[in-house]
Amino acid sequence: MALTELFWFFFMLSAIQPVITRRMLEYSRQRLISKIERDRGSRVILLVHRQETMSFLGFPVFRYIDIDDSEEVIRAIHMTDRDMPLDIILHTPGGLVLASLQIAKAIKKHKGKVTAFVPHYAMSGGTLISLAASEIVMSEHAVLGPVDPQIGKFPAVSILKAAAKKPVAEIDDETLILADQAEKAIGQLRESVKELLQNTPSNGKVDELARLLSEGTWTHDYPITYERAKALGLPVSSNIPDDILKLMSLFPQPTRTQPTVEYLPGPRTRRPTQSGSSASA
Amino acid sequence: MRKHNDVSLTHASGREWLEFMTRLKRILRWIFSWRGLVTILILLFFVAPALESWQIENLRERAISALERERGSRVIVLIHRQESVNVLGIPVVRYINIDDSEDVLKAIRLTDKKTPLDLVLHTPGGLVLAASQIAKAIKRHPAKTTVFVPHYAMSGGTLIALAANEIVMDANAVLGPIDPQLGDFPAASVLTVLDKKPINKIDDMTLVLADQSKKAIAQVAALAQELLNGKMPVTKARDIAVRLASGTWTHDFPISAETAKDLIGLPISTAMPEEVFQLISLYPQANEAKPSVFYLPGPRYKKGEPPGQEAAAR
Repeated sequence: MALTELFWFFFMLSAIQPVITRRMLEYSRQRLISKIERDRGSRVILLVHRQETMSFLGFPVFRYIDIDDSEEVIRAIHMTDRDMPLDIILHTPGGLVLASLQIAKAIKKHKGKVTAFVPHYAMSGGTLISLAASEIVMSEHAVLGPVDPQIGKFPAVSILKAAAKKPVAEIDDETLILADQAEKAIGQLRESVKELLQNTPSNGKVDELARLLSEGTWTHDYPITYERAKALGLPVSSNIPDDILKLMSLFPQPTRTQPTVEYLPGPRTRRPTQSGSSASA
Repeated sequence: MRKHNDVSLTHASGREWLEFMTRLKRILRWIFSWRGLVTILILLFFVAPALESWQIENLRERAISALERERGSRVIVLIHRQESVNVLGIPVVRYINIDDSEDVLKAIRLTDKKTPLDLVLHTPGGLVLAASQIAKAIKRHPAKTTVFVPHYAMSGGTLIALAANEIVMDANAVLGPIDPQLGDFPAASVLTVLDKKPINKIDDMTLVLADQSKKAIAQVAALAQELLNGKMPVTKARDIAVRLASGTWTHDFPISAETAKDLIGLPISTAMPEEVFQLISLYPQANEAKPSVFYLPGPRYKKGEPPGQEAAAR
């Protein structure tokens, strides 16, 4: 009897254990977010898209900015005082133009100061959102990306190029249909970027900047580093608070059995200071 | 279980305490036995979700009836959440279909002719047929009709909104163009091929599509004009209808409240009642196991609020 009881006890423990771990992770996230909010006197919103492999059948699930994200972000902005500063932390490969633009416009409309934090990457739609902020704080190695629209699998700009190169009678009908959409999409996005960049310090160069970002100067995955962004005239700074980097580590990659990057945790310093310091870290 | 409750409620003198302990032991043994475990699993996996969904259903009904009482109207909610994946990992796209139009029409039929109609829309659009059925029914309703757009109502949703006497949008909400889509392609873009290419070079399929496209655009434009009639001069109504239906923008172009009011000239107000937001938050995403947006709940105030405020607002 004792053995079966023991067995059930362990069975139940192992069933409850993941729930407890998740709760604890959630709790430490909440504590850190509220600490950042207290320190900066702001509302903190995170938009984090970790690419996960689904554990069920092993299908990869791609996560991107969708309508539900924009709804949720706007709900958070709604619940924030109009003058209250807003800190939005972005870690995303981009997503739907519609959703990204909705978030960007809502941010632009906010009366208080809006800061976008990019601890690692914010491509495409993520960049669009950060363009709406009055300040973009990037970590030194973080990247932004171009915001040229994609139609289906293809960059709109490349479709237009293809359509322009060939004599029109020889072009595939489908390409012409896509080209029509591509032309509208690029124009709309350029105008939106211009609107978002209004009143940023780099006022003189707004037209040029909007063109550069939205007209496919680079491929869609081209990394715009901190230095590059600064040279382009975006309002970037690189002093990202440690708390925000720490917060990102509380959003681990889910369902990964075999980690691909390994290192011993804790900071490493060159000078040998007190012997106890590395242990306590 | 019942017995256990009775005993623990009585005053625990020595003897009763002993009795209680034996009972407790028996209950524990029951829990750790096969039968007990199976019962608990059944409770957890079947009864708990059922209770939860029953509770949320209850909350929704209460929210809807609160809104109805306040506005003295019939409230109809049309919400399409995009469930990202179903059981097999295939994305599920939800849109306005015939079932939806049937349900909405039924609700309208059950509403008194003098009772105002309030329709809450949250949708990416859908079938033109279904959307136009709903739109026409709203247009025909004699009492005042209001469409609330708390977040987005694209395409077919916008078509429905055009039928209402008043469109109430949140400041950040968007409408969309109503140009028809044929299969994967916007009808307007299919037509551009005809202009650009010499006709004997065009694929037959494209010509077939182009014929449908032409008809579809004309039909949707005519419908939109009909829906707008009576709210503005005829020329203006035609102007707006053609602009929205002929592919001036891409199909996912967000038309914000200001754009809709200033550029297009639609009758829009941004005074969204708080109840609508509360209502829509009761229709959560189906699988929210891994949300991608995080923030601490509760409102934030600049200053001067007592510290207890946040907890109270949760």
